[in-house]
Amino acid sequence: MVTNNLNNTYIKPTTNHEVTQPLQPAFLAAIRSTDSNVTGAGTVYTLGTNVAFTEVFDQNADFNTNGTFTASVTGRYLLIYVIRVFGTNNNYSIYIEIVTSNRTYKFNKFNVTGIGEVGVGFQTIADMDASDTVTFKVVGTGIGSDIVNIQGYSEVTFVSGFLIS
Amino acid sequence: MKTLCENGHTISTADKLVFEHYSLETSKEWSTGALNGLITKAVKTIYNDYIEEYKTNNTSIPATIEGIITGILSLETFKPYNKPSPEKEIPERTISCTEEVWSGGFEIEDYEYSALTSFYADPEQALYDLMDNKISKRRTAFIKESTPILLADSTVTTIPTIQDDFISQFVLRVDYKNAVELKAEQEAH
Repeated sequence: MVTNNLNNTYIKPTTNHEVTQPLQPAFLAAIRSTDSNVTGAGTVYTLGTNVAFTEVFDQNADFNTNGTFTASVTGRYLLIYVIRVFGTNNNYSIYIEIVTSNRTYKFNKFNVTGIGEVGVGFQTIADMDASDTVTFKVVGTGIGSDIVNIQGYSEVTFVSGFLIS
Repeated sequence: MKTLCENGHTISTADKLVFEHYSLETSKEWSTGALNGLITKAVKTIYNDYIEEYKTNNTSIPATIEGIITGILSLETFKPYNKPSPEKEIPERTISCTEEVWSGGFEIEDYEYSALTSFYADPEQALYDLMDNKISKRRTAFIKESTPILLADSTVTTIPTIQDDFISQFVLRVDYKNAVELKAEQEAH
């Protein structure tokens, strides 16, 4: 059985009885090259602003490589945000945010010492209305200038999400 | 450049209050994001559906998304999608709409306009519908989240059943803060 509307197949069972939903909103995108000097002096930086995201997949065409995902339908969305920062000899603090139109989800501020690479990530289930947006931000504080970098090789900095219900 | 919704759009004072309860953005900023989402979906869907055919018909293709979309839209086989508004729910308003929120409309690139009008049956109506839909959803959420606060308050003797009355009365509470005020309070600590 294949379930269609006028133009699209939206529920697609396989011969082995798995069921896929080719039009269900779902995305995964990564920063694939270093995004340099984005924060450190309190600048709120939105991922995708200077270095565009590379899409791994964007099912249903709702993600823009500038880092904005737009909900195509009102519902609950699982949103995942992982970031790695590096590259300063200073001690500084950092926090990250998932910013939706309805509310901002903030991961606790934590301290970074020395030049080491630090990765952090968190996720939420967000209530989003149709055409609400979500962006992913990072804020570094405690340094006189914006010299904190976002690491971008492989999948060390990435965002993902999908419609749950 | 093309201008969309240049006649603007009005909402009621209760709409504005409930929008500001949740959002750090203005309603025009939210609508700009919504419009960008409509553009992204139109451009990417048209690209995904027609790029292979476009390549087959040409020995080379433009190296810009603007050029590719313009080329695809000129294919003889291209058919407009005529998509309806993505979502539409009318707010339960009892007061008139007097607050202008889209003054001047929205400026978009020519190819974005072409993609929108090829994808949606009526892009301007879609944006109006999405704004109303957003307000309606937030009104419902506001009342659902705020009612337990009133029920727990022994000084409250009655609760309005009309949405506009509920909203306008709730924001008069001494401890009430909208999203911008809450953020300012959090940052002060």
